[in-house]
Amino acid sequence: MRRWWSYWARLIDLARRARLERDIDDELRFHVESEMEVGVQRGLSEEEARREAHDSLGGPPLLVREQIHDARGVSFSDEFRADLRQGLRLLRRAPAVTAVVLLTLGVAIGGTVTTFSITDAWLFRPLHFPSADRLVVAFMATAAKPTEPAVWMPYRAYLSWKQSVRSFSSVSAAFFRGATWRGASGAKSLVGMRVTPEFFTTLGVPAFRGRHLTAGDATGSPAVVLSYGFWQRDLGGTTDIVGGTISLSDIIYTVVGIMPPDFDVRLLDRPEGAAFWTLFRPGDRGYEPGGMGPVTILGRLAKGVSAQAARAEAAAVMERAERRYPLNFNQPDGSGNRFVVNLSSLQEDNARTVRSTLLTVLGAAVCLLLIAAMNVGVLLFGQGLKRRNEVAVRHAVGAGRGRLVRQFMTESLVLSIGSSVLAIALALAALRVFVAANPLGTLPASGVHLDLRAAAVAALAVVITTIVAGLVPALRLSATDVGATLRSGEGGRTTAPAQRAQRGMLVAQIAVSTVLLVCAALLAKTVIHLRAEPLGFNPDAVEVAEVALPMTPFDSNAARNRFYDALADRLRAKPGVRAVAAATLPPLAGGQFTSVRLSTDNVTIAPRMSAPSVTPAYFETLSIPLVAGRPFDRRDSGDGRPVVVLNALAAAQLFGDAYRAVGQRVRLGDDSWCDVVGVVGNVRTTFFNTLEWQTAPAVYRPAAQSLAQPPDPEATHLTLWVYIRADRPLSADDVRDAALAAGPRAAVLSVQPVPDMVANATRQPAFRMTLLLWFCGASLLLAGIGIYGIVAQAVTERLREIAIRSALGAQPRALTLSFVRQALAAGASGLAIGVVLSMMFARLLASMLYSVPISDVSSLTAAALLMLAVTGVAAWVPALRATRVPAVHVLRT
Amino acid sequence: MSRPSDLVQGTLDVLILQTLTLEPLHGLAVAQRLRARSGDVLNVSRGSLYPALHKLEHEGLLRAEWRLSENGKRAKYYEVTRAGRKRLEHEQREWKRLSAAISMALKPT
Repeated sequence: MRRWWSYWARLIDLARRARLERDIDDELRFHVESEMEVGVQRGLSEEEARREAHDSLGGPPLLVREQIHDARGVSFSDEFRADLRQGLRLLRRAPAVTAVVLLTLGVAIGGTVTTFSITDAWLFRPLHFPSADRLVVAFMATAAKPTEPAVWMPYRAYLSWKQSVRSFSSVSAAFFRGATWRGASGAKSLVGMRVTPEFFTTLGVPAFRGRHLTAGDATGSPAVVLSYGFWQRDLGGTTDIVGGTISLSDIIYTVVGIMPPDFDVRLLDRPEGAAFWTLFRPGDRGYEPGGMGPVTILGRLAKGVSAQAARAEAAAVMERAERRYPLNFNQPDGSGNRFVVNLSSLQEDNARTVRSTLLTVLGAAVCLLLIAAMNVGVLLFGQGLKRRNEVAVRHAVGAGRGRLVRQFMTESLVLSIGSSVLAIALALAALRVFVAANPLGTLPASGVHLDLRAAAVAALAVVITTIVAGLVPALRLSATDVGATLRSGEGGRTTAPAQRAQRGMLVAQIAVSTVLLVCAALLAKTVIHLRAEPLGFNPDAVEVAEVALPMTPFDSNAARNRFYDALADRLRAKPGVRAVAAATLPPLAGGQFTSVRLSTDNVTIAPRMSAPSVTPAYFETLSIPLVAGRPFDRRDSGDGRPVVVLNALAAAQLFGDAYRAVGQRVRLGDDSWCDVVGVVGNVRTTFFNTLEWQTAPAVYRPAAQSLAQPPDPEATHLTLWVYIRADRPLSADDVRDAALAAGPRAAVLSVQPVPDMVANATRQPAFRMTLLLWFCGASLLLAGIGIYGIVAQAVTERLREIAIRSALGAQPRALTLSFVRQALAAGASGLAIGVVLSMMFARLLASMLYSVPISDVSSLTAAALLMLAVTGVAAWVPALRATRVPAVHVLRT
Repeated sequence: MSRPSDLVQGTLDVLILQTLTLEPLHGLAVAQRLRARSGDVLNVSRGSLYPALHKLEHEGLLRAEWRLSENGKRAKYYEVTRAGRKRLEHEQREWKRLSAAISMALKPT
């Protein structure tokens, strides 16, 4: 601490110094000039007057100035500047070492700053809302996993909370809604929100143009508030849009306002903010008093109320309100899950999916920084070794130990500051790449940039590297026996504390590298598991097109099926197309949950299952195997008997097994009975962004019988997902042309390869693994270099000993082995510490692992073996040198 | 370069402090006063005045300030600080004790 204070004092002194020089010169000039005036008045010549003036001054001004400096004592700044000069000279003398050090530290500090900036933007920097820490989001979780969202809140919970919960100063509800917007460049699928009138005031952000939505807008002509991004990007940013109209999914809305650029509300794992906001309207099914329409509830905590207290009160109010309904959230659902209310801060809610990834990567970056700093310490020390004589001489002529330590610290400070400049440049570039590549699939609402906080972290990193990289060699060198160094003229003996320091460094480096290695191995195994797990369908060579069918002219089941048949015929006619099918759900998703009953009883809570509509070719196109019965065919037409196909899990849950299911009857929702005609294999789905493939029960319905009014009453279109298996992929334009020919109002919103969508589902784990593997590779490389350096130094230090021993007949092999053995011994203890540490870290990783236990033996073994191998090789190469020591030459010099 | 011995240096410090207790002065004036008062016995002009002034300033016994001098030029005026006055009193006491002791010792009995 005192050392840092003294550095600071030096810097201040440095600034004062220039002024001091000027003052001294002025003062002496005044003396000389005044004395000269008197002399000249006395009739002396100018030359004589000057001499007399100098005499009275006590000598020429230059000399007096030196004496003044002498009298003031050697200032800190002088010493600091001398160290600085000396340091820079040394660094210039060894440009290769300097370059390696600058690069190593630059990359390590840059990595830390980059990962911190991203993490900070997600987790720590407050959101752009007034008192953002009081904003909370509510969701229903299960008692088993009370912190993970399980289902949406029912609309009636919002009503009861608004009426009775005192912990909220304001409460509002919102739910996503999609819309198709047709611009000059074609149709576009937008994600907007339906909200209650208090939504904007709860967030506390005024409109950028125009006004918010108010309760009055719920009944008048439809009104919409637009996001700044949508307004700028797609509407050209013209101001006359406010008061004008816009058509969303063929409904005309009056634009009443535009929100500011940084108004970015994401609820429950949306990757980006909404494009527009409209109100819930009376008559929306599920959004009337007592309605169970899904919403997410956004509340502002009253001043001084904790989220915990608010949760308790809100849960109690909801429990009481639910009792009034026969079907309610106080009962467990069909699968036996009990529901609990969860409140999380808006910021937590926004970062839920990325939190663990960010913290893992940040931790890895800090590990790498430590390793890099230790390594630079080793390198500087290697340089220091060559300077052993210089240090010894300086010590002999009176430089104290503290003085030497300060010199090393100054040198490492120069290096750290130099590399931090490089680091900032790297971080700026890396952040650009991060934003452009968007590897997490989502960017923080407040943007990612280098700010003062990042600069503070960079400064902290510089302090850490300076201390680690400077203190290690300084203590190490100043602990050596200087007298012996001078007497022996070369090398000198290494003292016991110095050797301990060396070994300690080795152990620490190996320990930190091991932690990284183990974590990377666990994450890599997770990704391998995720990738290797059978999905239940074959995504290869399949594309999926998202096609929106507006209610006009596609107003009936028959009209929609006619359109699809026409589209499928045209697609099948294209060269290379093998199969075409459609479903009302995209790949990997569950949805259209419907209660499935086996009796006429409407009171017991029935299990709700995913119930998509699919065309007959669906199972074949996606290679979903048939387990029993038959798939859909021509018999299952619009006027045929209503039928369903179950997946194996649904069959097992409802009837015990697949074969027993075929021929039975089920009742979907309030509709009439359907015959079960077949059972197909389970298909994996994902749930939000949690890292898990899920297997959920599903009931498939034939599209010919079920492309009726979609369940969402406000829906203005029905989305069909058209699956195309083709030898070579169709372009989006191919699909658009076919859709245009089949029905002009249908909008093709996207065409994506299904394998990409599968890869996206494992994107976060893959990203974590990739980054950690990189960090790991870098840390192994650094650790290798460090071990190499330490062993090489040990060999150099003991050249005389080696020479004597080989002169006395020691086997070169034995000498090499003794060095390698020592390194491996240090490696083993580093490994042991590293394994214990990584067990602790892996506990934090647990939520990111999929079917890999944290104490996975094969990962640990692999990491340990790799670490030992690196240690062995890095020690063996320089140790070989010991065997080539020209003994006679060494002993003679 | 030769440094004045501690005794001489210490004496010079006391003389400078003594000279400056009356009024703030610049270096040249201090030199002139010292020369006048000690009757050239103590020739301080041999290069030790300015280093001494700076040392005292560095030690906080003097405080310096730039002012216009009698001939209209900017000059650095020195002034005794509280610490300086204390040091002077201390030195004067010490001196009295020492000189009394020496006089006692030298008194013919």
